[in-house]
Amino acid sequence: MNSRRVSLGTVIIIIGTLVLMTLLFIANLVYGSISIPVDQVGKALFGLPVDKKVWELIVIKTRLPQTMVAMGAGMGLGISGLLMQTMFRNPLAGPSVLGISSGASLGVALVILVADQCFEIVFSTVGFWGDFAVILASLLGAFVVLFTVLYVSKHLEGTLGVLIMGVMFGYLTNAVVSVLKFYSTEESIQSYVMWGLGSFSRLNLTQATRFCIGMVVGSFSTLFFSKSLDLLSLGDRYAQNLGLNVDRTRRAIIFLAGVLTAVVTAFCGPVIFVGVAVPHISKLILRTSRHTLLIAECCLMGGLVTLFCCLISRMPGSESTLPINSVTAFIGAPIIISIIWKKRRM
Amino acid sequence: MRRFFPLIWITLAATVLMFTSCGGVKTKNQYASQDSLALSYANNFKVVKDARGYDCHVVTQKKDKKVDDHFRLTFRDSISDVSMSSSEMEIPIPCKRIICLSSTQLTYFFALDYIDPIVGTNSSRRLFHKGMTQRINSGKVKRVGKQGNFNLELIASLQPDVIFVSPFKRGGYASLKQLGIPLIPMAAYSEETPLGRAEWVKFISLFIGKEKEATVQFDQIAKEYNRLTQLTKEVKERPTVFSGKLRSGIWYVPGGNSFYAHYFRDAGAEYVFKDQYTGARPLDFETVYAKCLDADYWRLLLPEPVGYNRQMLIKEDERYGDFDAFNRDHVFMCNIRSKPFYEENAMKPHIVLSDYIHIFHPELIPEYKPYFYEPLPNE
Repeated sequence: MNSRRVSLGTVIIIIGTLVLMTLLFIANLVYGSISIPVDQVGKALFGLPVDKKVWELIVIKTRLPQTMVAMGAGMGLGISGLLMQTMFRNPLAGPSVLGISSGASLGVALVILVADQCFEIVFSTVGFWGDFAVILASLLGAFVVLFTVLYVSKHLEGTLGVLIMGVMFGYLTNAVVSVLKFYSTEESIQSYVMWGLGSFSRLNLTQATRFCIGMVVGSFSTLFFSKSLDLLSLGDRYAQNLGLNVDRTRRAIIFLAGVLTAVVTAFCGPVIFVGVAVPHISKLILRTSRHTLLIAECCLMGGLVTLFCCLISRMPGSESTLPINSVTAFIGAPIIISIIWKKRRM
Repeated sequence: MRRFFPLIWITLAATVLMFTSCGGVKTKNQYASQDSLALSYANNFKVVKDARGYDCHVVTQKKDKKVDDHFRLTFRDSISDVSMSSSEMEIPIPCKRIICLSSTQLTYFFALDYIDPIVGTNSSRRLFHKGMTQRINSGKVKRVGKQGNFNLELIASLQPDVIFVSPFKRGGYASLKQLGIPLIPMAAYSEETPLGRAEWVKFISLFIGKEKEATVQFDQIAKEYNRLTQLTKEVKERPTVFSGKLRSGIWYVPGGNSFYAHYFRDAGAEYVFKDQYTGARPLDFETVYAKCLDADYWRLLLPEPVGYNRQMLIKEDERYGDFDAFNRDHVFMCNIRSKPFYEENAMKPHIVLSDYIHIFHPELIPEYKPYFYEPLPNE
């Protein structure tokens, strides 16, 4: 299977995606609310003297971290979505399908809303410790769900039970969160709502660099699973007959996808649609089921899509900004609609 | 690949639709010159007095149109047996049982030092007023829930004469209306000037028979406020000021024509944002960065843990350290956890203004001790 040669067209598409992603990366650094000449952006990036101090601050402390986080988050979510869709053989599965995002949301709700109840702390205003607590709670919430799902998948045959579990976790989470909201102050509810809208601008340059490197490495490391994923996509029985330990592979994939989702959700909030839409776009363009190529394309396409959304959300030339989730929904929803429409004709 | 292009175009077209910014538009006085109740600053209510009571109009902006709520206040001793027409509510005054659905409405009752008629409020959280807190704790005043989740049974059992509602909040009013209790929109917060907001004390006073006290009190406030603005009129140096901070990556900036901008102007400062917006709007950080980096002062009004200081602010976002105002120790704040700002500021515009003047031009009122605002502590 892997001995098949990669066509020139496929290589061109992957390189094209990389080039487009790079161009969007640069566009995110060049365009924004404030108009900064391109040469000044370049000088700021290379540490050369810039005409205005504020330009350097904007490029280095605002645009660069945001751009890196957007790219890293896109890669992580794109790969996580691909892993989920392959494993569940469900075209609408995404990173949130296992309830991991819901777990993260519950963790954050407990911190933001309960702390307000018990300790009169509004986390949006506690700064570093507030952010740290939110990130930690988000990770903890996500991992509690992740390990529960792993445990369940050990004792359940097939993937349907796991899928239903994830959905149920989502419902449970919403129920708990709505109770917490009911007894919270407006400020706390607003903080939680704002967190839920997603943002790529919560990290400083150092944190963003670490996050971006982590996500790029984490996303591309799934290439090691490409052969297993190819086998899984043929069906559990086939894969088993071909010598794959299906249960162990499935747990490893759930773990990987879960970690990627958990980390992105912790640092950016629950970014929607990217994880569902990116694998589809990649499959649509590449027209292949080979996961080596799909993983590479999903990584790049994930970065490309989120960089595009990030640029749109910042509305270059305007002083305002849009929440990232409103833009990703506009990208993701048409794709999902088109998939359902296509299926109608099958 | 080609199949994918329509999707991109759909997305782009949809996104373009979102390129509209929101914000209020300055309103003109709807009731110039014909007020029987003398109003000098408030624009959004009108009262015509006659022998039997008052005809009241409250104007609120809903989406793109103005809504004029009309109701009739009738003195209890001149109430007729004639049934009320469907288009006109007749409310007996003075009211004996009142529910306030926002602590900002309580401000006027506190200022008039008359809270006896209040039987319900939305929440007691962060309430500083001792008398009201005692009444809530002893059960004389009930907590009736918040927008969208009112305890209707409790509200009905309290049998209020009126319920003061915030027309800017959504949810739950339809079910309240079913109870047949008059809902009075309190549009004080849509007034664009501090004195306009304070003048709503005259409106509240009609419901509780305190019209004279309200007029006397408001006149004193207006006199003091105007005296202070005269002080700053001649100042040569007008320091620049900006307001707020990031919340989840977004900075909500009060408009150049907002209530806060009026305060800054009256206090002899120059607000950094010079647009026509009356409300707050979300701005990208880099816009704020570019406009406020060299500003002289930075004002914060937020709920912070007690002991909030410069270190805590800088830990939230290291970019705050780039602002000149931060480096020059010119950050001042009002912590609503330790100051009764929301339950007092509407009726203390002269105090808020004095605080600002004390910060921007301390030489004008050297003896003054700030009440709401204080410099952000170093530790």
